[in-house]
Amino acid sequence: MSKIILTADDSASMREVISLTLRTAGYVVVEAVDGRDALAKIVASAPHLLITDLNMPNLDGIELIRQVRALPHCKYMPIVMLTTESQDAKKQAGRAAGASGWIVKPFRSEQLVQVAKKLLP
Amino acid sequence: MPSPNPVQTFLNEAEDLLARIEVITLELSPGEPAEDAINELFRDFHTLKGSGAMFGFDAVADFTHHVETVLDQARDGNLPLSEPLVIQSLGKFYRNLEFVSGATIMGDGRVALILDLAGLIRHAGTGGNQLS
Repeated sequence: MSKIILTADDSASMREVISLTLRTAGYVVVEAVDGRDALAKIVASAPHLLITDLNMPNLDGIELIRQVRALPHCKYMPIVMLTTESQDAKKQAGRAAGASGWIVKPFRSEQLVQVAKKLLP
Repeated sequence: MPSPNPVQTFLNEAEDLLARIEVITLELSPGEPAEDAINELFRDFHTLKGSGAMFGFDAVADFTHHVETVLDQARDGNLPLSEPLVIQSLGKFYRNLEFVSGATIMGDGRVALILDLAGLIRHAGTGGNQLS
């Protein structure tokens, strides 16, 4: 059965390119428009991997990671954050909140697939 | 079903973001708390930066990075103007009709956005000097 990946990003174009890339690679992708949406969908869709942007309205990526990590069934789920080069402080905060790793934007499709394959063997 | 085209989606998104940026900017008033507005502006510009870089709009990403730096300083209160620098300079920027008419990424999107943000940064710099 295909692994499910939840991606949270307030940028429609980012959601589209991430979904397109991962669906082509054979994953089932669930999209969330912000942290609050992601938190709701994480319960409904039970993903195997969360890929989240950091700057989002309503609930930002750091807080999303923190709240997801507090869910018993998501304690060990891999979480990847999408950052930009200028977000070092946020990256540290994300790691402290429980993120497994990060991908710096801009990234190539192959990089994203590689990370997904590595985290979802 | 039409196949998704992330670059086209980005161009539409950028147009929406610029429209939002314009509305937020026009609603700023000197002397009023601007923290929420600055946070919103920061997030919108950050999206332009991250998604712009993602789809190869490097010049857009470079310029929005400069705008972010200005907004960041304003947000952290490191600029005496936490409002004045950003508000006055953005206000000045948007009162310039020539710049406003260019504040769209549709059509020849790259050029329009570059010119606008360059103007924004230039005005931001001017505002800062005037205040000091």
